[in-house]
Amino acid sequence: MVDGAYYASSSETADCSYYGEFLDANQPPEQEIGAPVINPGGVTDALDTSMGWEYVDTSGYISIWGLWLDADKTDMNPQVTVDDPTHIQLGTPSYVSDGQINVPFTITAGVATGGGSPHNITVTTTYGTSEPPDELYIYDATPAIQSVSQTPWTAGSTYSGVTISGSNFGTICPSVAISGAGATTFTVTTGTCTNSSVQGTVRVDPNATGSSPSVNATLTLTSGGYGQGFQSAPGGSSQAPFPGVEVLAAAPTITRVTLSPNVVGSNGATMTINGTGLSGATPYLPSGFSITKTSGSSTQMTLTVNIALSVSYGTNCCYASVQSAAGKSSGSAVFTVDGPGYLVVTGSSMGHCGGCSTTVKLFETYQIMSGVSKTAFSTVPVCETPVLSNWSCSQAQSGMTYNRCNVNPGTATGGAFTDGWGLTSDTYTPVGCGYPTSGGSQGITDEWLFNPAGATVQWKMGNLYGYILANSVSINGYVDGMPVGTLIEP
Amino acid sequence: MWKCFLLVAGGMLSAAAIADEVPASVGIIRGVALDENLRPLAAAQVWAEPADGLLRGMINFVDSDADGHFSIDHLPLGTYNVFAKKEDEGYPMIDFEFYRPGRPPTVTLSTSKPVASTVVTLGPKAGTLTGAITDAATGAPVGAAFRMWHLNKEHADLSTSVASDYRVLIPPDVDVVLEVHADGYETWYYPGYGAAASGPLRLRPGERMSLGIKLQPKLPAPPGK
Repeated sequence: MVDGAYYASSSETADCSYYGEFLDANQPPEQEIGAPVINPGGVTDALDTSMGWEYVDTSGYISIWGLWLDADKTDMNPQVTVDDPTHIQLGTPSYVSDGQINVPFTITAGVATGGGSPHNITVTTTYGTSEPPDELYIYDATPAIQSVSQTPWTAGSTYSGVTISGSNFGTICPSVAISGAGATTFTVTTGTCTNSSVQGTVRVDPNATGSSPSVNATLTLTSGGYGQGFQSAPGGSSQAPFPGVEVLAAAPTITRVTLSPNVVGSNGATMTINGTGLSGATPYLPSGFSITKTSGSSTQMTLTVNIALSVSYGTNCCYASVQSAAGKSSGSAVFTVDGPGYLVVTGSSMGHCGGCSTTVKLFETYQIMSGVSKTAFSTVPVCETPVLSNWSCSQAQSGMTYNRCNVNPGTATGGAFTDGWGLTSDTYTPVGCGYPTSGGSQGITDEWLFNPAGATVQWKMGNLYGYILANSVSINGYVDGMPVGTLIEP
Repeated sequence: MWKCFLLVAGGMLSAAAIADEVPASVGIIRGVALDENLRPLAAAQVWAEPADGLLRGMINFVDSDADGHFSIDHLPLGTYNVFAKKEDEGYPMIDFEFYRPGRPPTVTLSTSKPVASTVVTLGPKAGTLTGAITDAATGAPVGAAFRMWHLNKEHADLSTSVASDYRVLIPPDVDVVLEVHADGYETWYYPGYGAAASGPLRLRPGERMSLGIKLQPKLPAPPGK
């Protein structure tokens, strides 16, 4: 029997209950009021009557559908009870009619959940208690993510304290997976889990973006439920995907650059660049470096390079950088290139010239030394800038030929060369004339320079001064030639 | 000498042919280096110096080839002395009066004759003096300078700086006075401090002599001096 009006259509008899007045003599008597009846499946969510369940850790209203729920308006305070009032707290019905009662509820964690654990709901009026009780199922709601902090992420970076906020995460720490960004991981931090947030550490794969400037990763949270495993409602899910987390390509980094040999003029030298994000990166080296071969990994790049003689050099003179395939540039890393730095005297001979009784000449032999390693340098072009002053002989000055910079530099074979100072016969008079030091003015000043072809500048190697007379020569204060081992510096 | 010129001519292009190849303001000296037996001397270092002029700048050594031939290019027109050496075989720099007395022959390059030929003869071989120069008190190596001259011609001299392990060439069949200087040490005279008197050193061509030289440190001046 259901709630409604009944009409006698024959002489059959019926037991009816009636409360109130007969409205019409021709109308049959109404049914007799009985104990409330809950329709099968008659417990639903109040807002979504197709949903015959509620979720853990929620509040709201349930609707109970049936008959005589208000005892045909004779009992407007029906009692609605549940078998687990500890975790399913029902309040006073907010709406009561004969066929429907709306009851506020609060469901807390710890309640038995899932399709195997229905909860009995009964309605009691002055006419009795509904029998059998109907069932209310409690499930775990599908989690949802509203936000993720500390985004965008950069490939290769680690972010701690990243907070995922949302709802229905459960009371058991969820797991979090990241897709679309290589081997990027999210490690949940113990003790940070609530039903609405979780914190963790994100380690972004250094190659998360491949060769793209950026990618969109999807973060998926899988709820662990509320203590009984995740109990999914019909059509629900334990997973909450959150797409669109931007992951940016990392700028490559350089931690160290080595070069061996690191000497100007070296062909086939090996440069090693250590750092991160180096796979597929393009190296950038100073002018004068040419790269003939490149190999390596994401953390080490090995280059075979030719180093032109014209390369600028010195301790920490030079910088290398790389640009990733995604167009990100590293910072610059410094390295040292060695080159001619100074001269050292390796031999000195001075004596009268052939056929001369008064005139002497001097030969100084120098070895070019590397400025950084202090070792003997190899064959290089050199030039000089001599200035002669104070000519004092009666004869006209003799012409002077020398190795002019960028015009006719000489070649110091094996890094060694011999420098001649003197006049070559007794022709010049008076005895002792020549290019004397006079009035604070040196008779000769001279600078030797490294003069590679194509270089815009020359590098000073040694500075000389002194005088050339027909019967005497002085160089850097030595009148019989410089001792072996004397350093001549710029 | 005639034989030498034949060797040169046989190995060279004509001057007229080469003149077309060089700028008007520079010339070339080509020739051959010979030893004391007038045999071609390979790997001799040959160079040119302005005669009666100023010697300044890098000496442009060129090596003679297996036949003794050499070519010195890019020389401004003028008059030159051409020298050679091959010190590792005992042929010293012959541009010093010490090793080869007398004015060297000259070679002239002119606009009409920018290419010239010459012969450079080396030898006889010098004597070779080798050894180590050390501190007489400590045995520590000492770099020093040799000053050497002909006993009968003091301006035929040479001062040369050497490392502790030295090697100097001594003109052959000549009495040579030899002294060694180093800062902080008493001057050493051949044959040594302990000799009754210093004397000349005379070596034969190609003769080798080993001589350890122990230098006495100078004593500090007495107080008040």
